[in-house]
Amino acid sequence: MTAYILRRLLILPVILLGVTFLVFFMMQFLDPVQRLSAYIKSPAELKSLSADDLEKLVDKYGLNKPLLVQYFDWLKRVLRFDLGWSEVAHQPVRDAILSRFPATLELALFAVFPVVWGGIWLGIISAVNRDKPLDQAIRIFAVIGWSLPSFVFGILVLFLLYGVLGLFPPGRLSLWAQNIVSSPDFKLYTGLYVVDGILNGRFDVALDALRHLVGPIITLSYLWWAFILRITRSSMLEVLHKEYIVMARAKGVPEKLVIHRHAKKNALIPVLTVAGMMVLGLLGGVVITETIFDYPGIGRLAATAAQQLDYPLILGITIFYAFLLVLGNLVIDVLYAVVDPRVRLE
Amino acid sequence: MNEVLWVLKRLLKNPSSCLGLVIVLFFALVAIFAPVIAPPEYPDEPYLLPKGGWAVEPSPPSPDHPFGTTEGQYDIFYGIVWGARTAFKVGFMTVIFSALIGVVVGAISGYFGGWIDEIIMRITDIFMAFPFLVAAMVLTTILGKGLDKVMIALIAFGWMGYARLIRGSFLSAKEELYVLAAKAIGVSSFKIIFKHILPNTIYPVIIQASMSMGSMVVTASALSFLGVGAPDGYADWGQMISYARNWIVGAPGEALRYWYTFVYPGGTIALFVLGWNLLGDAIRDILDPKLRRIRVR
Amino acid sequence: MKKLLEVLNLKTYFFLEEGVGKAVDDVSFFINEGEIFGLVGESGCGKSVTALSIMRLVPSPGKIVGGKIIFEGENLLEKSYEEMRDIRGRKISMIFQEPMVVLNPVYSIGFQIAEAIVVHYPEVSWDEAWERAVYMIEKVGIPNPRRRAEEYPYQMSGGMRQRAMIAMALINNPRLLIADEPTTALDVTVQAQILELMERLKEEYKASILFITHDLSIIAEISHRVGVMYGGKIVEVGDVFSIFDRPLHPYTFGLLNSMPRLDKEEKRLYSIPGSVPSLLSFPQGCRFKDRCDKAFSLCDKEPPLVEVESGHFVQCWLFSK
Ligand SMILES: Nc1ncnc2c1ncn2[C@@H]1O[C@H](COP(=O)(O)OP(=O)(O)OP(=O)(O)O)[C@@H](O)[C@H]1O
Ligand SMILES: [Mg+2]
Repeated sequence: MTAYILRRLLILPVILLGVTFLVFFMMQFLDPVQRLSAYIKSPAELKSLSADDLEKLVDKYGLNKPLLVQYFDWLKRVLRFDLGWSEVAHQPVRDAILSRFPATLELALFAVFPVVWGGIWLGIISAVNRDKPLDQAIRIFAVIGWSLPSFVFGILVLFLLYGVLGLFPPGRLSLWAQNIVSSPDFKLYTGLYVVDGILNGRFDVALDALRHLVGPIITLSYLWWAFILRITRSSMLEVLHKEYIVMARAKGVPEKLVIHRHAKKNALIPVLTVAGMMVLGLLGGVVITETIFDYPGIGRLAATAAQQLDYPLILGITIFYAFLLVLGNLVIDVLYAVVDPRVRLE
Repeated sequence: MNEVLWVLKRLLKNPSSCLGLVIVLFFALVAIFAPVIAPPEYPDEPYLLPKGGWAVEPSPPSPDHPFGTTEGQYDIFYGIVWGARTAFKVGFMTVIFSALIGVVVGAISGYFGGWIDEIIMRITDIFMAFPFLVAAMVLTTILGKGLDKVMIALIAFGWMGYARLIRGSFLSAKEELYVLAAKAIGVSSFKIIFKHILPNTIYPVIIQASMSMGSMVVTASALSFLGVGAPDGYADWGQMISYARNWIVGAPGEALRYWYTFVYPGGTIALFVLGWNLLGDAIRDILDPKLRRIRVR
Repeated sequence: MKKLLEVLNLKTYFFLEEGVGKAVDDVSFFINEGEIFGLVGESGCGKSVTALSIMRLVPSPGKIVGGKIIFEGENLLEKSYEEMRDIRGRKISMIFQEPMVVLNPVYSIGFQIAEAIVVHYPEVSWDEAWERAVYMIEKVGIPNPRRRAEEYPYQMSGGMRQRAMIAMALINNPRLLIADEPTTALDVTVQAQILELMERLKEEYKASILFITHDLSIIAEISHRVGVMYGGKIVEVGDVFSIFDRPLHPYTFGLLNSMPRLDKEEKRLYSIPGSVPSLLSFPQGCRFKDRCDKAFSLCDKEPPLVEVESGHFVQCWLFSK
């Protein structure tokens, strides 16, 4: 086990290097001026771009050197988190990403429980009632959720919750709450408005922030349930056919414990990986859902960057995503070992 | 051929896979007969949506525009019919090419093993380090707008699953007798791969391919929805939904005023994906050897 | 002697897409108190399904469709779920063939044994149950019981696991122990140890054993009475001496002849021609007739079970004239 984790740790730099190289490689498809924009540090440099200035900038950033030299120059900057200037966000790319992160984190924290737990719960019910009407109903419910594209279902939710009911508006805060939050008396301890609202004693702000989370959470839950549910169900069905389940019954263990003690713990081991990937997905920001609900997280930032062709920003976000995913997967694997004793002591 | 008939028979036996098949066939017919169902206004550019006027506000269904017009007066019916062609084109192209690349890469990796395998698998890991939608979005942004760019991006980041699958089956097939026997009588590596191993490992690829049709089309549409995919005015379902986005909340006191801008394209794409998912699921149930053996013991 | 368990005309069918599989069809036998009853037969003849039927744990699509299972004077087939659960693991317990897969991989051995106590005696505290589990682990001959109790199944050898399973089965002092091929997956020396252990503990705990195997030499060694199963039916029952010395049914005959023996010099081992047909394709009448060298016209009809000598029954037309 330790050998396995050690091996993963050794490969990690290789993967991260490969990731940056792939991004750099994609950059080569841009024309020189666009590529230059990924290097520029401030808008001042962009201002007076005449033909010979361009030459100077190309020279300054070494864009006429051999490709490999360019790559390592660029890599040095990336490793210092110097990702260039974002025109869309009017700030350095690094700051743009970091300032959106609390919003994304808040959504992830509130969404993870309903998404993961709800899906597992449905999957277990479905497996235990295999082929009965309840199972059929859950599976139909799931296959619809699985087939609805997020941009269709999200809009539907927005329409129902906001357009029809007028209850749960898009955005992250209402205007009045935004004013309170940006006033100097309101201390931002965590950047999570629900938490900060409570810490500042402004429960109305916390409630308002919560209200804005409802739509995205419903959207994500329904769409992602299908995945967790399918995996839980099939894993559970497989485990329920295992001999040790028959053994547990033969011992006289009540059916409830057979399922929740003997079957569930084994069945959830493969689900863990999927759940972990979902958490990573949430932490990275969910592009479509955040865009539809106008939720100012990293996902929406990525969409805006792509629409406005803000190359430094979109490249920066991509690197951020990839690092998050690679490191996160390592954490998941370690957790896996903690849950499954077979892996733990190998 | 017998095998195909057998699969077809099983498909027709199960109501949900039957439904999937009917839905997919229906869309296939719509796509094939698009020029008859919705004759293009500009025959050279059939994928360009005809405009019903110059106003921005959508207009409700009328004899001229059976499903109404969406933002910018684009005809919804026309967009849906020709969008079916777009969807099939994107789906088939991306699935076939990413499967092809994946199979070749995975076959090389699994057949030769050793450091070749190690390097190829690490490259696969690198490609998998990016979330699919984000990776496709970045590459499309870099390459520029257009459906061909979208397809290239989807293929570039869509082959890894197949590669891993094929590599896995190669590793186990390699040990088996038929490969050893073929090697012993001096058949070339190339021949072994294409004649002896691939036909035996192709089922998982078919399963995976049929299951990913829906998600490929959805991702392509999502890019168009975000405004980085199909160019403005192109017949694409994702694009149609992005037109509806500004109108979905309706007018004051009249929430349902512009329902048609959303319901038709939204329902269409959901139905299309549902059809493929049902079909893919059923094909998996039928072809998966693990599930196939159930109850036979 | 008193009968502890009596199975009467038990029918357990599997309802498959392709048809109805009669895995156990009209099976009757009984087990006396303190006795080891051996059940032998080739793979797939329905031994395990018979055992699971007694526990009422037949997996779907299987169903018990008829008969009676009288245990301590009461019909188990009429018990409610809760009554049956109370019997399982307390009055009747079961040991399975594959010690590798019947222990839950994510719980320690001690946990799984102690659990068997607590589900039946909720008044027993967990600590006490744990102590009893440790004691029982020692009793089945596992060294270092206190440490072993904390270990997980994958940390143990096959023989150890089988011992742990015996500990689990005997922990509540059951009246009947069903052992479904408990030694098949083990190597020969370990087999002998486990058999010896089971015989010793049976004496100590005064339990009866239903011992299922396809190995006649084990049957000869430990059981008092024997039932021979073929194609879902018991074709011959009797005490171990009459079965081994005077086998009647051609199938029993074939089985015995295909077994290497020291007391008879044999030029070559006999083997029964053909193989067991699939569950759905047994012939009409006597199910063995296609493989039987003594088959004749009457065999197209189903033979009755007749008592040829006291306590020795056979189901074959050769003996019911
Ligand atoms: N879950 C099941 N589904 C369908 N058929 C089954 C199932 N379990 C058992 N059977 C059928 O019942 C018959 C008897 O099986 P059983 O497991 O009792 O055999 P056995 O005598 O215990 O054989 P073995 O020595 O291999 O353990 C077999 O032919 C098998 O096909
Ligand atoms: Mg068995």
